[in-house]
Amino acid sequence: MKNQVTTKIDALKNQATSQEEFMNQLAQLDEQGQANPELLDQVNGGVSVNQMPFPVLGLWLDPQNLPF
Amino acid sequence: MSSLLCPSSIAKPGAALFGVQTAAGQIEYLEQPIIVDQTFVDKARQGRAPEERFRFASNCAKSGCGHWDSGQSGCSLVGKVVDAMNRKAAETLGACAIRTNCRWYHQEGALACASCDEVVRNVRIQATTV
Repeated sequence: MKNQVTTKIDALKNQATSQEEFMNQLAQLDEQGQANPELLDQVNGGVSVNQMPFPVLGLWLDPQNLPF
Repeated sequence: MSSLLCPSSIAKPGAALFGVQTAAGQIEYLEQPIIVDQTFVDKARQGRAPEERFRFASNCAKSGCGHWDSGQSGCSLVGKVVDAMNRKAAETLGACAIRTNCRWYHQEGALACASCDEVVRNVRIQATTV
């Protein structure tokens, strides 16, 4: 069984009249998942040398099950 | 052997979109990765950071990445993630479109997968005013 996201993306693909339109629609997909900003700071990830966007890898934890 | 894929890539043309963060904050994995292009990246940057909404994979940069451990010849980040999450490996792994070529899975096996679905990658872009 396909998961909901795959189903949604399949629908976008089927509705799009071109690859460009599909990419545009896909780029706007936002399931509103939120990461805890404090936890985002805990692990600094993907640090590339001499690159302007400096990424930070964050961990999302269920607030109900925080280990601390 | 072809290059292993970093499952924590930024959104860039040629990257493989392989998961979407759900409202619950976890990742739903696509059955097939979607290679994104410049159109996608440009549009996605207009909204919430794409790295907070999606998961992307691209070729592991190895020594070009700050997480590369040349002594171990591997990614040091996945070990941190596994330690931080402290999760047990599942007996049966869920479907993942990049697993067979995933750097993290290659190094940590199912332990990496156990933590992966709660990882998002956040890019903080420095304000650049010229």
